[in-house]
Amino acid sequence: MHAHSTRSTLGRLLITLGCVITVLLVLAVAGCGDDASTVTTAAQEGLQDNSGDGKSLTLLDWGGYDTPEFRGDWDTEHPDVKLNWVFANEDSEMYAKMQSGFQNDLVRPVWTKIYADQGLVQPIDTSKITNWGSIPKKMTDHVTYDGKVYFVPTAWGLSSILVRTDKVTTMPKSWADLWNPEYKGHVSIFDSGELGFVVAAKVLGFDPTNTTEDQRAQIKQKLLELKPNLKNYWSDSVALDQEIAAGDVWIAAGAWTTSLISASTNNIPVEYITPTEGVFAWMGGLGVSSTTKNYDLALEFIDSYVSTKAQAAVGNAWGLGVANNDALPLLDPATVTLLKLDAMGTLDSLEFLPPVTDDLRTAYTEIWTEVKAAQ
Amino acid sequence: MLVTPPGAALLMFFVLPLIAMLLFSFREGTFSPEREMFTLRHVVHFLEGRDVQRLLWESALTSAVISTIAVTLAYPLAYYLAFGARERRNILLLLVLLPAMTSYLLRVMAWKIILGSEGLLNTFLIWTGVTAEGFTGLLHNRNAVIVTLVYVWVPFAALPIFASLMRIDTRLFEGAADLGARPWETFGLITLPLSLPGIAGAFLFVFVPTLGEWVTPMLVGGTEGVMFGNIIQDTFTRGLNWPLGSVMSLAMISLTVVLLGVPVVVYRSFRKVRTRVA
Repeated sequence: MHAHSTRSTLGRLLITLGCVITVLLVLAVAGCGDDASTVTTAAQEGLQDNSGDGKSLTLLDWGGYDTPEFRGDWDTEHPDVKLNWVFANEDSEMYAKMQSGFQNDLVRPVWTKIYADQGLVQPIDTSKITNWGSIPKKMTDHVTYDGKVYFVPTAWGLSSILVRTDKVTTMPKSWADLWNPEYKGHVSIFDSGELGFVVAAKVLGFDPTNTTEDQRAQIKQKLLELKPNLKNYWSDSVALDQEIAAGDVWIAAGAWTTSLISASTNNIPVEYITPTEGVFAWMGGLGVSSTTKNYDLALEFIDSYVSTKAQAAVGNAWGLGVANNDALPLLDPATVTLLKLDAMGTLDSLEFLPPVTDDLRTAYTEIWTEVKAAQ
Repeated sequence: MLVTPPGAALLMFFVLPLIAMLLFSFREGTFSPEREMFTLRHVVHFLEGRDVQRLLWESALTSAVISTIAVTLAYPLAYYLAFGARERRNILLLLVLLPAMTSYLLRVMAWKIILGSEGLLNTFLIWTGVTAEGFTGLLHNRNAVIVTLVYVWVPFAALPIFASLMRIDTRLFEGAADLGARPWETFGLITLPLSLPGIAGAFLFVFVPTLGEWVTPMLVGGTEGVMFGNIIQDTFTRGLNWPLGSVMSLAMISLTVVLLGVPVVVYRSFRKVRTRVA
């Protein structure tokens, strides 16, 4: 009996000790979250830092952008610099990574403004970018905040509506036509709260960057009314291409030019329309992290990326819009015709998706979640 | 207990993350400057969201349907493996488990190919003349999710049932036959009741993972097949709202505990009653 009670007391002591240690550990782990803010504050003082050894650059990027041709003459000019590519599939992934203290030199987001707002990237000294003058003003304006340039545009792409001309009876002409009951069950929309929000806002005549609570309720209601027309939400453009080819999806909202090229290559009758409210365009740019220790080297890399040669390679390979005007004559004429990519005219008529701020992001994510959950 | 390796593993990989998630639910934000602040607003937000709560409940129902169908289909499979296979048992067991050894994603994509409007099933139906144009409603809805997940989980459901069937003493069957029981009576009065722990285990085994599923609903569910896991995933990754995501995850865990705890409590009290009566 005596031995038994000693063991149970010991047991209880161990359990209590274990619980205390657990709670302390968890609090310590949870408290580690403010590493990012300390790093950022310290980084503000240490901008344009060149104390690094210049031997390597770490890039946070989208898959495929590491293609050697896309960086022009970089490899021959800097053979001894090691490039470390870390890939992400989405803007939110990149953003979360950097906010969690990831140490990189360069990042290529589409959500440009939010990085600047949060102090994750530092201003770019454009005097060090030799190709800066060849980049259209419309693009450079998009990445200039408070008079400072925070990103160098590297590519833009279209987000419009791709239609299977042989399946629809009436061709859609605008974003508002997505709601046409004729297309019931055959519309697919990009699974992004951002696009849904902006499209619904535009269709209702609101300014997406400046909505009141009542307007947001109307946007949500409008999106709920779209649901009967939807077949599914697409997030992977390759899967979307398959569904368009199979004839399940007649209208792809928010489709990219890669889907147009894919369908055309497979001889599927499609049309990439220009909606009356306007085509949306996304724009990606390279930014330099606030914590980099290779500031000048990073700028040199950016310069190589926006060189004429490199930009022509990007445009021809993926049919993306280029940032360097001098690259336009070098683009494959077939691509230019297919995408109606004839320089300034097209660029002027484009509307870049509004810069994402934290408030906008929270608003549209909440609405999208509720729309998806509703039956 | 806690200083033993299994106890430590349980602590580190189960208890710690749960407590971390619990603490996270009361944080103000994920990356914002005031993120460390204590707040109940995410809990309130979740409790006010009727649509999301209903989706949680509907996902639980969908999982229950999937589990029931999977167990029903797995039972004959396990039965044959236990009593019918004899020498070929090991090979057949391997064949049953073989799909489970291939990529999960590939198996889901296979169903996309089968159920698509120009897929295998429709092509077959058109070829046999059952229908002229094929059914477009096979894919991108809740039924597609159910079919795909049943397919994925049947091999796993068969295993616990198989294990509990193997434990039955076969002399009971002989005894029953001697006493004049017909085969279906033997099954209903001896085999089935004795394999109930296996059935319950198989049900649990399928129910818990399918409740949190989001990949299959995303690929084959369309808009109708969206499950609670998709909402959690969206909230964490696109919404970058980790506190709200934590609240949702804990809600799902709590619902699972309640749903599964109720039968256990009922079973235990039922057993107590029976023992007392006996």
